[in-house]
Amino acid sequence: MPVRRYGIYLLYPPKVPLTSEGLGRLLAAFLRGSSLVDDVHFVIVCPSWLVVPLRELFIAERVPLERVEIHAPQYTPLPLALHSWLIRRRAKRRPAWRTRFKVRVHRAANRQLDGFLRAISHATVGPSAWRMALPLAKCSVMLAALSPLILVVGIGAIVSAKKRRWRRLGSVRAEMASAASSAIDAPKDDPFVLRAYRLMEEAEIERIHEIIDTMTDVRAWYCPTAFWPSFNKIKSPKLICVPDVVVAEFPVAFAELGPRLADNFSLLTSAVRGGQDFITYSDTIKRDTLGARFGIAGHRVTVIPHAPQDLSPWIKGPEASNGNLAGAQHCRALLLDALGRSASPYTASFANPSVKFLFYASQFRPNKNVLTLLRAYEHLLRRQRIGHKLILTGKAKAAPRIAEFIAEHRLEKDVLCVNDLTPQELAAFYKLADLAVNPSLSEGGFPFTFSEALSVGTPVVMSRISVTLEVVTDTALQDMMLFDPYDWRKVAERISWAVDNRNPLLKGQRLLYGQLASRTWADVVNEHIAVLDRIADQQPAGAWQWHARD
Amino acid sequence: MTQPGPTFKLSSHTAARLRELTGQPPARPARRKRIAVILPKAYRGGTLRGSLLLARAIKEGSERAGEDVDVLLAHLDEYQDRDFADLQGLPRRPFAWRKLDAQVARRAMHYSGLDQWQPDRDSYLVPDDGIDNLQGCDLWLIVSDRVPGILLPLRPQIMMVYDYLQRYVPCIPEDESLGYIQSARAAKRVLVTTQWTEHDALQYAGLDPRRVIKMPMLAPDFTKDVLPDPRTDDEAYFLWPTNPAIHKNHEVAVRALQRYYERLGGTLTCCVSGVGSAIIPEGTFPHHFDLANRIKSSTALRAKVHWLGELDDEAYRAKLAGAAFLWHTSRFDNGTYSVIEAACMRVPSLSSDYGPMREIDRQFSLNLSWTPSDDFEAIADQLKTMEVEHIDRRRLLPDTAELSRRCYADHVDAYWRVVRGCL
Repeated sequence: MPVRRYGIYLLYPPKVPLTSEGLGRLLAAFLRGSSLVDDVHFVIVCPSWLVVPLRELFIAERVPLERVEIHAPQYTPLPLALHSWLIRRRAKRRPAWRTRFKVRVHRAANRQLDGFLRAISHATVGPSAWRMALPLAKCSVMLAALSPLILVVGIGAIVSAKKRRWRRLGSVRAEMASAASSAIDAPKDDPFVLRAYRLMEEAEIERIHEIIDTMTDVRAWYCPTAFWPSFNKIKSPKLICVPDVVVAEFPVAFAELGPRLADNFSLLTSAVRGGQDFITYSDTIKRDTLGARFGIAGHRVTVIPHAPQDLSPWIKGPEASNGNLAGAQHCRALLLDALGRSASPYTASFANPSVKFLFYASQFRPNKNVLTLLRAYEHLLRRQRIGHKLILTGKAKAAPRIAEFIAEHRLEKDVLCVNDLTPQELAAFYKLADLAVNPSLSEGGFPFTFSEALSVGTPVVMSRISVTLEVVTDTALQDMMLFDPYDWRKVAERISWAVDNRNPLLKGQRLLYGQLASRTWADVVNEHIAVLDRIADQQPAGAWQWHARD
Repeated sequence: MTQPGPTFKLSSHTAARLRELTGQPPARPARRKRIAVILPKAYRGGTLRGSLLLARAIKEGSERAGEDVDVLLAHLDEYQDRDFADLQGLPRRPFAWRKLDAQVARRAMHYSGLDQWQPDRDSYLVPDDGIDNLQGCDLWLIVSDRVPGILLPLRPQIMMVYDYLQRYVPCIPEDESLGYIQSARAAKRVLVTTQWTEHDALQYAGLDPRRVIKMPMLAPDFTKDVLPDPRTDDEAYFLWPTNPAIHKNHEVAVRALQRYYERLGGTLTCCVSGVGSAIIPEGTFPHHFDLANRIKSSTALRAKVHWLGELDDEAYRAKLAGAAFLWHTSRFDNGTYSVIEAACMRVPSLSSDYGPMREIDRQFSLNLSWTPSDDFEAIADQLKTMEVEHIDRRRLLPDTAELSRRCYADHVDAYWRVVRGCL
């Protein structure tokens, strides 16, 4: 049987957490689907630094590795290798001798102090008071013996502190060390490192394109995101996926996130303006974003909606083979595990696995509308005494206004943020939630929240936004499950109703989920293949070479 | 030699889906346009009422035209739910002004598609609603030019300018006044409701004449309110609605009252109501010092002038319904709804004579009685005349149904046409 080969172009930067983010899961779902199509083979071309994370992703997401071919430049670029070496070195480095000495002295002093305090605490006023004498005498003798040393160390410490301060005042070295440290810790926020990265990326792109030029048997290329204008340099037929351009819809909030995003936005606009054919996930993005904003003709854009994300396999492992009860226990264990990783002492030691909660799985981005959800939740908790917790998966540190709201309203013990969930943990949180909520203001396609929750039997309430209305067309169901995301009162009202009417809501949503579930990732892949075939066939003869494989 | 691509057989499902996808997109309900009516300051009284009316008029106008839009009232978070009772179910959203520095502003404009835009000042304002900075709205209609800075032009703006009071009554610092003018210059359209303000918009603010549009004044349709029973236990009185602002002309008005009672033997009591009006006789503000002394030294003024302070709507209407007439004393402004409300309750009005009030009189056929605004003797004479003629003047008031139409219903389409042109 002849096999047609199509290429996937990836250019994610180093350290992108593919396993814990939507973009990784989507790629994995796509490749899992493609593994079911016998006469088409996808090859991935990517930078050298992406090979290991991709393999890890595919293992975590159960993508058959034998069906995925990864091509990348052989060697890691020197700057990246240097950066990795610095990180490793810093992790291994022993503390300086002064630090070690101080730690030892502190420990010894604490031991003596403990002994002294213990003796005092245990003593009584009665005849046994003489028992204090021994530890007191011991301490006094030790202090007397060490007094010259203590004096010398004390004077030395004062002199040393003064010297250090003096040195620091004029020290360019200290500034450079601090800059270097921040460049290692947060390289993306350092303009110099960012510029160096762009140069390194340019060189890596050249190497990638050398590989691509040799792959004449690849009929057409597919780029799953629109941030890489270099994709347009490929001479073969090519197809770019534009999931959304959410920055353009929330310009102020994204502008306030700093200048780094501006680069990415320029890359995106450049990639889209230079693109030929496009795929997107919804008619909304086709018309409102690609059509209205970029002026791209409708015939160049194909809408391929997602297939549902079924999370149930993740909680039906061998541990959960004894039916629902075992499944629930497994989920509760996963929930406590994930909470236990939290940096918050309250969350980390949370011990009730049967906690009732609302769940919103999403990063904290301006379009995600988390503040409105928090306002609604605060009302539900404090005015309606709903009792549930609200569990979010975003990082509050990365969204100061969300962190401020939580702190200002003293919600730290009821709004829990859990991060970096594994697919199993994500499934468990969905399964155990009383209700999933998605207040997002804008998405590229029908939010995964619906299928992720329904696949494990949890109902959902969501925003009444265009991409949702494309899929939820039944007006009775719309009224049941959708709310106006701009009005926190409406969000609260719908959540409150859904918590009280969980079963009717679930019943209504299961019908829709059943319909959606008939679409699989193989269908999605087939539709992509059909578009790739079409654009490949439209190319003038000789523009590419095709080799049939047996 | 190149080899043509193979014939790939699609599954029937995929083929059908692909046909569907590459052809005309399926009918999707087009997103309704959304218009934000923005109150830039925590206005009360006439401007708040005007904003609510404006929001309703746009909504109703779009519905009448079969082009239904969503209208949202955006306001500072300094109100109570009851302040919006007249909004008739339209959504509202609180916001706070947020300052962006020039670089952030430039990025925001870049993201919103205006790549070439460059900042020409240090900072810009955006309405921070904690959701999307009103970016989900297609048009911002700002009610009054009193924006405390320059708005980042992320959305087309229409600005409603009620008056340029500062031209006649120096009540605003010069740089603030310049900021208001620049705000108006940045708007795509500037709406004014009187010829007087239109003239000022061109002559004083120097706006582009093509952008200034004179609109009919919208007024609350008080004819639909249930008329309260007039209070009959009180002695006969006339009602003077006011507030402590300098242009309300209190000094001249109180001198006129003194003459009315002490020289002309006026018999009607004067009831003063309005936000902050109770502090006027205390002389808290410099422009009330002389007036406060005058009241202290006049037995007649202390006995016959009742400072009621702010009344709620119901109490105000009851008081108005029982009044012999309403007295409007301003030196200058964009006019007042109170004379319209009075006419709806069959109460005639005596008003200072200035341009915008003449226009209101014409638009609503109120047959107002006039006084000069700065001649206290003439005003006192007119008060005396109204004491005698107020019953006759009730007959000159317009028909209630006619008044109702002129308040609101006749103008809804005109407002929608202007707004639509900016979408």
